[in-house]
Amino acid sequence: MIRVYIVDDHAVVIEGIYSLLQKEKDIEMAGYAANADTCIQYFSIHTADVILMDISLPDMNGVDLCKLIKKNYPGIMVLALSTFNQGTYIRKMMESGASGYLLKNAGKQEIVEAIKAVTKGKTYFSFDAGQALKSHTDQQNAIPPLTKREKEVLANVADGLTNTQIAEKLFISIDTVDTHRKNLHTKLNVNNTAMLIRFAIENKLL
Amino acid sequence: MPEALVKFGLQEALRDFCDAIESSSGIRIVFQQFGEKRKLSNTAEVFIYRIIQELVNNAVKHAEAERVIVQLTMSADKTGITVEDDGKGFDKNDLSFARGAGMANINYRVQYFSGKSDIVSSRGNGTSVHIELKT
Repeated sequence: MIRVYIVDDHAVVIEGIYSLLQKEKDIEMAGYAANADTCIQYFSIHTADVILMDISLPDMNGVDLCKLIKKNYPGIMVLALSTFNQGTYIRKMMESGASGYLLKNAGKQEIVEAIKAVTKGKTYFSFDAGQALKSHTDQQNAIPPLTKREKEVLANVADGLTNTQIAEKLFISIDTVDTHRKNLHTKLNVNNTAMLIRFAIENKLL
Repeated sequence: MPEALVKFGLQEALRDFCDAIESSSGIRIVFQQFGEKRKLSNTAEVFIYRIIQELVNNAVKHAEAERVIVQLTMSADKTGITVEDDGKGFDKNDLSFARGAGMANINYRVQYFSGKSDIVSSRGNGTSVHIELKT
């Protein structure tokens, strides 16, 4: 029997999930809370296997509550429950120790599947949440696109111009040229001009 | 202050903002953040958030862009913002763009932080706005 606890400030969500899960033979409802405080008090005395946790609660956000629960009771699996299908929220919850992310448009079958998956130590994402997380990660791994000014500064550096010459040519201050150069170094993860030019040539940025 | 800004800080709030605009407009919004992740004063964070909101809205509403790059870079004493689109651009000699309330607001905020702004645009070649603030 999997004991499930719900934290959500919307009564309709709690009642909805309760009635959806009541007839499931492997699942038992442990209880519910409308805010983080009640939830924390409950777990100081009782326990459960899975917490369905809304990420926006009136007294604390889900990210912090999740951290707290996982720190004190690492054996309890947290399944984030949210209407937000945004990479940031999903990533934040996962970093805080959640085992999965369920969107509130999920049906009964999906909820049951998610609960069962996380109790087995697996992670579970609603399809859309998985997609949002993926595009979020893809975005972070690619070579970052350069801005117009960065490209111009890069081309001029490659042509051997000094910061002063570049500043005059582009009608910007020397300071700004320097900022663009520093940004190029950070973005492309290089330490000096020689490495910058080599990286730019190898990756056809010039 | 916008809720996401209070909860997660400037970087995450901007990422969320860009994600939200991307899903509502269908325009690709690439958010990138480099350098230090400093916590700035509330005023600075709100100003930066608002400036980026205004610039992204301009790009989405007026530029007919397909892609917008939003970049935030921080060093020990400065914060750089770039918002760049691949839209229709404008002629900088035609000053009507600078008379809108949006640009006036941005200029006010830039001055407040003794900042500098650099706008590159020409018809057909998109617009790139770079702003540096002392923060």
